[in-house]
Amino acid sequence: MKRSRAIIRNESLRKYIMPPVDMYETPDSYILFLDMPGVTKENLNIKVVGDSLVVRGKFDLPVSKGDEMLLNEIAKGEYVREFVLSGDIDRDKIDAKLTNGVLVLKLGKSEKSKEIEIKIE
Amino acid sequence: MLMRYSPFKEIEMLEREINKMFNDFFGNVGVTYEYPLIDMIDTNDAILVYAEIPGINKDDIKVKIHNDVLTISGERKEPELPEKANCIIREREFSKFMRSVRLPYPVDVNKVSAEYKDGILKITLPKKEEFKEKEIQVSVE
Repeated sequence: MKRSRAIIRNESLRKYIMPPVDMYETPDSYILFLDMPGVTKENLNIKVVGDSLVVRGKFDLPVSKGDEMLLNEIAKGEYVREFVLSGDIDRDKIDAKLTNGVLVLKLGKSEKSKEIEIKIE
Repeated sequence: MLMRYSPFKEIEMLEREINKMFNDFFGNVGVTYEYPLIDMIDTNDAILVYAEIPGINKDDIKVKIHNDVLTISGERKEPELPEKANCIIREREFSKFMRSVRLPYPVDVNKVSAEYKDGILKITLPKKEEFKEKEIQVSVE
């Protein structure tokens, strides 16, 4: 007899997946890398709400009826991560690119907050 | 036992001792998991294996099957960054990886296919004919 693994399928218990992020600062921008495997461009949603930048993405693997899950390690569901935008970010200069499950966000700094080197006379 | 006194040896021994203490104390705290994470699905005619490997070059992944053991290996490299980039947050991991899983059924090695899309590697391993579930019609008279 086949013994199937118990998977909790309760919507209210579903948690969000927090994608790991790398953040870099360059003189004129911030660069963010988010690991969101399985998310396609259509299922990705990036929004600026007030002071925060919210990234959401949905992901699920197709399992048809009668299939048996032998290993179930990959977290499926919704990725959510929120960032607070500091004052030096120009909201019109936010670029997003999704390649191979990694979202790269480029947040441009506003003109007045860019690093300026002062020459010593 | 007589040994020539060597100050560096002393330091090395002390270092080893500290490392051991550190590992004994913190060794169990860190959550270790195998990389990459895998889903394995048994469908009627094939075994599907999904592996979560975001941000990797297709050519950097190797898939091997030997004695019904599937091995996925490769290297996750750091992205190229512009000059003068300072790291502020670092949560993602980069390294070489290898993981092997035993397959529940012998598979038809010549028909195995793999595709890499959106950071997920999907490997389709068709079962050998004799291991497929078959429905047999029994007529009762």
